[in-house]
Amino acid sequence: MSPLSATHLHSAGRWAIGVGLVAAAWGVMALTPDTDFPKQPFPVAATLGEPAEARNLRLTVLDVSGASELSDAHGWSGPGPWLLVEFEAEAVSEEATASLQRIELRIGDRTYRATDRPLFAAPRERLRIGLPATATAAFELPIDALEDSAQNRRAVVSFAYDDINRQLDSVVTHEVDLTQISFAAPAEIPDREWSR
Amino acid sequence: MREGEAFTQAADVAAPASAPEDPASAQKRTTPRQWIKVAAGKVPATWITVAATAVFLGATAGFGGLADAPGPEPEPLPVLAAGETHTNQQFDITVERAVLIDELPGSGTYPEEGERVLAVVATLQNITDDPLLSSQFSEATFTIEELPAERPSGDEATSSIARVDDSTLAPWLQPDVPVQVVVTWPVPADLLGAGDLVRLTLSDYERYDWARLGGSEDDHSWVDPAPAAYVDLEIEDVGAGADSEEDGG
Repeated sequence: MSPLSATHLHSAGRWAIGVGLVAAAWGVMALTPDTDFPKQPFPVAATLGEPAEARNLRLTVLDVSGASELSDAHGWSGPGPWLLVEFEAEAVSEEATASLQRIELRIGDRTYRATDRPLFAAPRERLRIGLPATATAAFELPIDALEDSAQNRRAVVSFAYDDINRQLDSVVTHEVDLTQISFAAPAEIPDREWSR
Repeated sequence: MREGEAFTQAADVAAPASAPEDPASAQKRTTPRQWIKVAAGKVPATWITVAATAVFLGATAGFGGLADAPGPEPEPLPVLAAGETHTNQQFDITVERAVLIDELPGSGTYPEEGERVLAVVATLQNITDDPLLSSQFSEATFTIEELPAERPSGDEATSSIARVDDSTLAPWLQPDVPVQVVVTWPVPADLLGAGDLVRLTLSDYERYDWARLGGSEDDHSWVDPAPAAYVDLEIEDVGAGADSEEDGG
């Protein structure tokens, strides 16, 4: 082998190593979780009727239904569509901070808060240890939530205590297929009275 | 500096070449070209830099010096009529009407002695992906410049926002769900009357992403509301509130 071709080979080797390192760097970038990753909450999936346990929370999703219009015993009514999630919840170890501040529905990229109207339907009381309470969270939906789309088939309801500091807290999630729910009939929301 | 050195070298090269000749013939052969070369070699490089800068600044002065060039005239804000929609990064805002009323229970505004309530009815549709608390933004989004900043009691005059249909105060606005709201201000009873035109200023918030500061990608806040449009509304006076539709809202 002549010295010239050896030099060529040498330089080709350097190029190969260089390109290889760039490719490796790209691989590392692609594999690195995003900056949010270390702070992600811990999801606890809940199936219908089965209790799910999260930090200081035992929650059972009892029923998921739709309504074209919602009304209550006080004469309030609001046109929908509404998604109603009936659940039973109790605290496990501490009552002082056991207030479900965060009840959300996620449809695709959009997040919906459990409605604050009517005020008396919003479940805001503290949970008790050993005394499961039943409540209904109502979500006011946009019209396009009734369409048959991939994101509507995989909507997620989530429950957690802290609405502000969500990092590293556990959150009970329940997947809802909105396309399987009938929004045709009106419904009446029970009073905000817990434990009935 | 490098330029200067090059010139110096050129001069050094030129000098020995002409050294053996007698001074007279050397002077004869000094063409203007050579003379410039030698002169350039003797001028310190800083002088050249300074001279070039001076020429540049002199030329700049002819166009107004180093002051900021005047920007384009700010475009006058659009003036909308009732029923027209203004869209910003947060909301589709459709202002419908302005009503003057003695009091509007449930609106969040409690008129004092000598005050009435100015109510603006608008439809807001949250076009972001997250629920927005209306009262967090309504104060800056809806402003009326001609209203006094202080109330008879000395308190600051602030606006309130409530839903028209069930008078929920400071409602959360869910994504893509249009909501008719009523924004109310306390106004001196004699300031406005039926038929008067009132100019409502709509301001837009700007989205600030915390990801720029290394925050998580979803984190953002809404900052720096700035006037973006006006809506001219003719005031309707409903007296003590005979308009029963408004009573609940």
